[in-house]
Amino acid sequence: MLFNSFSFGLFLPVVLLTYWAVGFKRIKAQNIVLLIASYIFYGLWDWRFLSLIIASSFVDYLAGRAIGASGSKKFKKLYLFLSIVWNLGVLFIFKYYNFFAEGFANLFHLSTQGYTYNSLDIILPVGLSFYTFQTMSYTIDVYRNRIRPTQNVLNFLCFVSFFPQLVAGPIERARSLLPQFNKQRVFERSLVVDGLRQMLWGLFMKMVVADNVALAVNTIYSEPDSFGSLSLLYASILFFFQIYCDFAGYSNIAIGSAKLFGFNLSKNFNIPYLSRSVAEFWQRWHITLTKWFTDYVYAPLIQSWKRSYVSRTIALFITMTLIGLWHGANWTFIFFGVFQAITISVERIPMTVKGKTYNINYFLTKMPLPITILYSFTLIMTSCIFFRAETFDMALNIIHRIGSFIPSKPFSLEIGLRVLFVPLLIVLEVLTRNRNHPFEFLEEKYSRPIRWIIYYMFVFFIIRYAGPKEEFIYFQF
Amino acid sequence: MLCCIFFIPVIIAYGIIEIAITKVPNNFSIIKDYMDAENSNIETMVFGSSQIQVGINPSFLGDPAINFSSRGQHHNIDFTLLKGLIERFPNLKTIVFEVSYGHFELPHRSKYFWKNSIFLKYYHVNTFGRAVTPIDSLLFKSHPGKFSEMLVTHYLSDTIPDVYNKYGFDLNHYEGKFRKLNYDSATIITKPVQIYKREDVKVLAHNSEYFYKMIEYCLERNLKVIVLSPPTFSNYNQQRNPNVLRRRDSILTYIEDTYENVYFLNAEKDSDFIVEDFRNENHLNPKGAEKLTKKLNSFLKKIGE
Repeated sequence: MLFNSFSFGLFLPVVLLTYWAVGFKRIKAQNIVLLIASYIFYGLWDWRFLSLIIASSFVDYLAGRAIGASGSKKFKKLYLFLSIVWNLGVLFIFKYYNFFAEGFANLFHLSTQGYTYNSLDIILPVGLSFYTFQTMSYTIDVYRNRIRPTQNVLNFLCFVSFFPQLVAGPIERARSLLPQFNKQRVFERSLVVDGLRQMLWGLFMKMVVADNVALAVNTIYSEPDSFGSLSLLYASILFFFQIYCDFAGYSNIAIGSAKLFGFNLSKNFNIPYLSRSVAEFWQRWHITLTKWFTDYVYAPLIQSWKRSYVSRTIALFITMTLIGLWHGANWTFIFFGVFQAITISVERIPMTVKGKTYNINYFLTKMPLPITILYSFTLIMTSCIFFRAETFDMALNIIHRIGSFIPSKPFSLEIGLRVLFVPLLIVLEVLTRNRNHPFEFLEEKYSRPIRWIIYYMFVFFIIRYAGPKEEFIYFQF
Repeated sequence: MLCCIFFIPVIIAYGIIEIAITKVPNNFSIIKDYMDAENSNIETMVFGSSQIQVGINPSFLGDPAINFSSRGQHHNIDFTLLKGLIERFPNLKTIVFEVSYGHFELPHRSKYFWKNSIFLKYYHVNTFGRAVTPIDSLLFKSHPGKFSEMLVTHYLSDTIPDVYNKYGFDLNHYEGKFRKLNYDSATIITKPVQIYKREDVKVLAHNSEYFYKMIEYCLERNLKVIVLSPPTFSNYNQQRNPNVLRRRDSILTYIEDTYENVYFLNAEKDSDFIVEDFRNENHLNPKGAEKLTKKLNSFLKKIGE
């Protein structure tokens, strides 16, 4: 079930009414409603994978309890190891096996030596990367004594499968989300209204901006050799906004939906195109993922090595490569991560001037904002070409074509006009940059009739200008 | 409560839009009416994309026929429709499938194809590839842009309306690039052509296997199959990717060598079709459709002898 579907439009009110109807003093009953709803939500994608999420939940629940109960450091480590092996194993089999098997065979030219490998004909369960990371963080935090293991299996199952953030994040930490299942949720009108507003904004980002921009991007990227430099540059810029609005839109809907149930989820995006540097970009882009990798990969590596520029750079490369790989099993994603690591490490190169040590980041903060935004956006956009391209060669070809000043032929005005929502999005986000979402300030500024007119306008945009869900390659038919 | 009050006008407006759409005459509703009335007599069923939708006018076929082609319809939709509809046509003898230049290397429609709602609503055939609910037959949500344009055109503008015959064929469909250019070949060939040139052998492997299954399905039911390649204008033919074309032709040769009762009518380079027969590079106008349908009719008679 997609957030931007009619089914979700029916599902959410039914769950919400049931949830509040059971009474906010009956926490257990509310959690049961949430768990059943979450499993229905997930099962509607593919009911077979429900067993996987339930198995993962129990493995980590039991691992957490075992770690908490064990007095021996050695056994704690063993239970943590088993939990990580399970989580990474599931992730490897379902997401990465074919990629690594093929890569291994190609690397050693096994196919030319008569060897073959068996690729697995399996589909990737929706949300696997999200909930696996969420459950892994739980056991690691229990091991590190940052949280106490939960004894309540129902709450833990809810924590893993909470449907608003199950399939596309934000990746929540147990210490922030799990306690919310223990405490009484109060129906707060202001929170619910704000949740609805945030959902409306999220739907606008996803259905109107991202899906329409996708139309232009897919048209151009489906045949890059047929388009000139400006068209490819245009598509590459738009692709950044496509993935941003797609992902941030989903996060907003998730956070907004959670508010309807009295839950607070973490902010996941903070206007990333306003970053002054690539390093800052990662503090504004998919924040919960960046924090996850910082806490569980980068920081432990730094702590175990000498704190030098070289060791930090090595840790950075490992972390960013893994972040790239997290996005998908393809060399293009790996390079996407490596590209980020290269740029951030260059930004961090220490330079000594008159006895004082600086780095490029320092100079970037001193430069005019438009220049630094242009600098970071150019680099991010370039890396996004690798994110979007189907192969490494295709990405290089696109970059080559952009740099070769090949004349562009005009493309359909219809496609061009569809992206006009991007400037609207930028203006609204920049004007309300200190808010969680652009509709947040409406309550303070405008009376109800004005607010409703604004909401109706956006509902109209969503209903009338929702972009197609299918790629636009059928123009010849 | 306020939330409910807020959404009531939205739901009412949506309901009005949905009803207004069903009041607009469209070829799907006409084809459905024709199907309901003539299903027991129909002998030929035609499937394809817009090139066949505007290229075959069943009124010029000698025996009763129905054209289920529509814009953007690929083989997977054709086959699903065929399987969903075949039981309703007891007298069926021939199936016409389109194979145009790009058919085998253009990916099939996904489960998100917007016309799935139309097929469900009018033909009662599920092309979604999953269990459906009544919500799935709501039309406006399947393509808001398309249906908004349709509503505005029908209710608010004074543009030339579509004129459908009883087979759902639009007799007024002359407006297009070629008419705008006064059918001047010299000017037309200087204009850019929108054509899909991408090569994709993985898609080719999938689509060709799928097409074999379509043919086998028909042959198992003692139906003749005609593979029709509609006419395209010279500048379109020149722009085709030779690799895509070569692989397409080799698959057609394979089909010809492998299967009996499969016949080929390739009109892609048929010189009988002149510039005045086209609406644009790869779509005929009703005049051109008359020519192509008459050729198909002769072909049907020939293979029937």
